[in-house]
Amino acid sequence: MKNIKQILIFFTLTVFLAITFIPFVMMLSLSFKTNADIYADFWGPPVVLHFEHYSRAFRAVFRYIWNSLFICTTATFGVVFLSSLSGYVFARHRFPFKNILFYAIISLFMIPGILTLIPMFLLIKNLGLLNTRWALILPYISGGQIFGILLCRTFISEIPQDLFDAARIDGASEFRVYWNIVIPLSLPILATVGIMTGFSLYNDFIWPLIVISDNSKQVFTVALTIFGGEHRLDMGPVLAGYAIGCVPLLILISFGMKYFIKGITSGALKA
Amino acid sequence: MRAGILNNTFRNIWKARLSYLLLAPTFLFLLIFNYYPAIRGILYAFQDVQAGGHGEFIGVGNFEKFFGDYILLKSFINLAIFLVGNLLKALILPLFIAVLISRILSPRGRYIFQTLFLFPIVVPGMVGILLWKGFIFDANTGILNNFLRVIGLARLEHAWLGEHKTALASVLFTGFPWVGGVGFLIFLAGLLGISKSVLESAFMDGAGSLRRFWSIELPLIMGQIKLVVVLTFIGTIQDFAGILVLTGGGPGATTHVPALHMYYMAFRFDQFGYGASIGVLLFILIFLMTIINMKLIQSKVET
Repeated sequence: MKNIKQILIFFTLTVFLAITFIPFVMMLSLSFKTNADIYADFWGPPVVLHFEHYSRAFRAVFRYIWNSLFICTTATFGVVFLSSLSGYVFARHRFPFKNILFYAIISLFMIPGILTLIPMFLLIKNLGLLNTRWALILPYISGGQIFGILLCRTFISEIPQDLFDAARIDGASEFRVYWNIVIPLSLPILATVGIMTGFSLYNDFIWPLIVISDNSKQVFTVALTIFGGEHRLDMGPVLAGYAIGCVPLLILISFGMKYFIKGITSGALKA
Repeated sequence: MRAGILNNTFRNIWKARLSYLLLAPTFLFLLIFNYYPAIRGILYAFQDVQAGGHGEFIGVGNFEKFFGDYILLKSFINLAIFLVGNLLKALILPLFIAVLISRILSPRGRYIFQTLFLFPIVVPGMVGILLWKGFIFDANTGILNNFLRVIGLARLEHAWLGEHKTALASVLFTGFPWVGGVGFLIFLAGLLGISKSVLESAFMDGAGSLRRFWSIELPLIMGQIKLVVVLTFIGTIQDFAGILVLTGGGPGATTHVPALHMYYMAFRFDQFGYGASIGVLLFILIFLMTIINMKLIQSKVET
């Protein structure tokens, strides 16, 4: 009885997995076919693997993926740095108005992006940053640190006080405490913050669409919509371009799956 | 005496100057890129702002325009449909899958299925949307029409995203079965977090599978459900990237939503003030819905 139930569960899950994966499997399968192959046999696996689709697609999307990676990496490091620093101060320092300042940060969770989209655009425009990388990086750092500070503060406040006392007795400076104690001991949470941030920034679409007008500076997600339009007739290379764009997230998630799951469920368990 | 307390406060602040200095970068960023735009957004809503970013204060003029804006009205009706649809999408199948995974006895099996269902997140959201648009819904080459032809139902073929009758349903259907993502992960974390002793005592009482779900697991993961409901509501009201790319709000205004309307008003028609007023309206809507969600679901748990 128990076994039948388990088999039923496995079977149902496998069916749902199959449906979930169809678009992605078809993406890979069709990316190796020419249009003639596709019309001849849509569903079947590719007979001849047209790898040249990938070299063609790579030349077309490389610039945009590079733009995305540069912006995401820079912004993510900024977020991780500010989150760890401010998270540490809120967790370990005692100073007047600490709670008020902390709630001032947390209250920003109530401000949705839809409210700030237009004013943020006009701000970036008036600062003369439109069509530059800074138009993406600076707001990304600012917005990303909010959740990061919350996670880091919780994590760093759980580091045993003895370590800090010992460092103080040894006469360690504030910088040394931060660099030699806080950073090494909070690496797991920094990985979580970094992976969550990098993941969501790589996926962003509307903001780069609005602030970047120069095609050569565009990020991958937005460029895709243009790239697909230009190569409308050749499905293979377009799909190969999509597949190449998955590689950065594939690498990020394969190395950081554990931290990604932790990031999502840490919010969930508190709810 | 009063002066003494003040003096003391100032002395404490001066003593803690290093703390403030270390927090300065964070607050400098937040002031420029978070607080200022939020306040400015509310002010813009009462201004007649054109492309330059300056405009006369016109009181509630922008808000009065809402009533004559047929497309905005239509887009709110669509939003209501999307809210209900997305809520069902976010709750039913992801919860079902999470429950199934949680009932797998071998931890290794659980881990494998969890990883596999999470795997689609390595595909950027926009790639997923473009795949559905170009390779599933496309009238000539799409998988859907292809499939209908293969099984002999060619008369059911449609230009799915381009026809009045099918556009909205197709946008909602995009991403089926809507499991590969983070929602089921939140539910699964909740289900696996239920203590063994609670479940064991249920087994003693001879509770069946369905009974176990309804009377034990569901009430205990209300927190996670609340979170997913709130996130789905906020996401549905705000995110218009999918609709922008899939249909652009069309055909006509059949898939138009308020956030998309705001985008068009500001960035296609240079009506930044009017756009900002729609932004404020959506902000209020999100705020109210979040509070109502919290209250409603909380009271359900208590009774």
